[in-house]
Amino acid sequence: MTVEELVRAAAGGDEDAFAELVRLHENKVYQLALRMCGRPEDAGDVAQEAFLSAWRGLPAFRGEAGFATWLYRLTSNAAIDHLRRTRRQRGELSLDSEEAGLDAAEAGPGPQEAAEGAELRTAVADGLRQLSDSHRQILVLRELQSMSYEEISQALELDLGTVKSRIARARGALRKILLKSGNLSGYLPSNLSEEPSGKGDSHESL
Amino acid sequence: MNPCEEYELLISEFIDGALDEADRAELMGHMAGCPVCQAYFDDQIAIHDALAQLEEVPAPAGLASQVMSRVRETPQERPAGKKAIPFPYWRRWAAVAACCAVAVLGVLRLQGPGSVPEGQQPAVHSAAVGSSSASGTEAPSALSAEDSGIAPQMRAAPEEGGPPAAMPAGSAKEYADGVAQDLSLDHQQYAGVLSTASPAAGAWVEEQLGLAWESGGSYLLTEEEAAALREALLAAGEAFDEAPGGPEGSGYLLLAG
Repeated sequence: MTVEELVRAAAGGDEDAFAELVRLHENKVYQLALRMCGRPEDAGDVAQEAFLSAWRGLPAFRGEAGFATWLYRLTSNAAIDHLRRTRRQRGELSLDSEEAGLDAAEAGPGPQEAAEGAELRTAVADGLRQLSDSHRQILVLRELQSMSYEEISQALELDLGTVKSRIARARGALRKILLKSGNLSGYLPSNLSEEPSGKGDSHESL
Repeated sequence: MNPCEEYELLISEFIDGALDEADRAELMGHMAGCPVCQAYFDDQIAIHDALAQLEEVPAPAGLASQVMSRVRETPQERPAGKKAIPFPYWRRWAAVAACCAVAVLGVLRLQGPGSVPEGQQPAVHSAAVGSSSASGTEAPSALSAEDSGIAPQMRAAPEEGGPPAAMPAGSAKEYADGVAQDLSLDHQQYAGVLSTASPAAGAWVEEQLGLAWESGGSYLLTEEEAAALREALLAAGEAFDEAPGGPEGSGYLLLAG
């Protein structure tokens, strides 16, 4: 059966069809959850929640965006909800704060990244975790899920211009993190490691 | 240092392969003279490559089965937001509609084909509510085509642009209104609502949609499927009722009696 046929059948209550959809998408969903949450245990919970949301909501799924796009939206929403809940439990910063990257309890090296010692890759994976949730979310969708601007626009219900500029800001933010950890050369005239506020900084809120 | 503000976005779009020829040329031209942007560009390319090489961690082995065991105990949310029409309620209206059909048929038999007086067109066709009655070709018949022998007139029954002529109390029109009302807001989402307890419908759903027929259940049909189902039911001489949905609605809701 095609994905469309599976979706139709599952929307009518066919559990076997839904099981097939789970098998087809579980890797991508888990990947997204993991890169959003940082920890495998959390990623597993988030992935389950995402699939359950999909099961419950499938009868109402109209299919304007593709099923995968919709599923990734459910997954990143589930990840953000999860992060909010655990942070609230620990009385931490709201996720809307630009400084609210994953904390040490949520971060931690990916399974193979540290082992392989591929420095930039490790640093980038680590840097991702330090991004704000919304920067991390959009960069993961673009770079790791390979979603197009259009698909991201549908998944996050943002207009295209916002998608493009948020991705650019996220990249800028990631680079800043990497520069601080000394993993990129950057262009650092010796006395200019911090930029005084001026034309470069006003866009950080995106 | 930060890149020149105007070029930060262009660099990002370049990485995503989203720049057209002109913008690309502009970016390259700018970078030729701007080492800050050039360095930013180099960094972003390196970051992009590193991200592309991040290992793809596969889902853990038990995930799918854990999901499915929870799925099995989780009900789906029907798009209407409400349950399908409660079974007894539906049955009551179906019984009334069937009585009307029989009564009307009796009347017609007395009068014979071709002698149905003006204004007494028996519109058992319940979808002739409001503006949708213009679509005479969609008239379903609650009567068996062979029995009546007046099927062509039955089909043409709803007058163009007009509501059906006076029907006995508890008519199919009221039934359709009942259907529409019970689904209230929600039926607007659909172009129409079909309801039937016919075994032929059950067989059709099973064969054509590959779904199990469940009394009290509901199914979503495309326009083509709804048309095919109506054909199948007419051909089998089985009863069904139809209520219109919203003008902006799409797809058909099939309610299983």
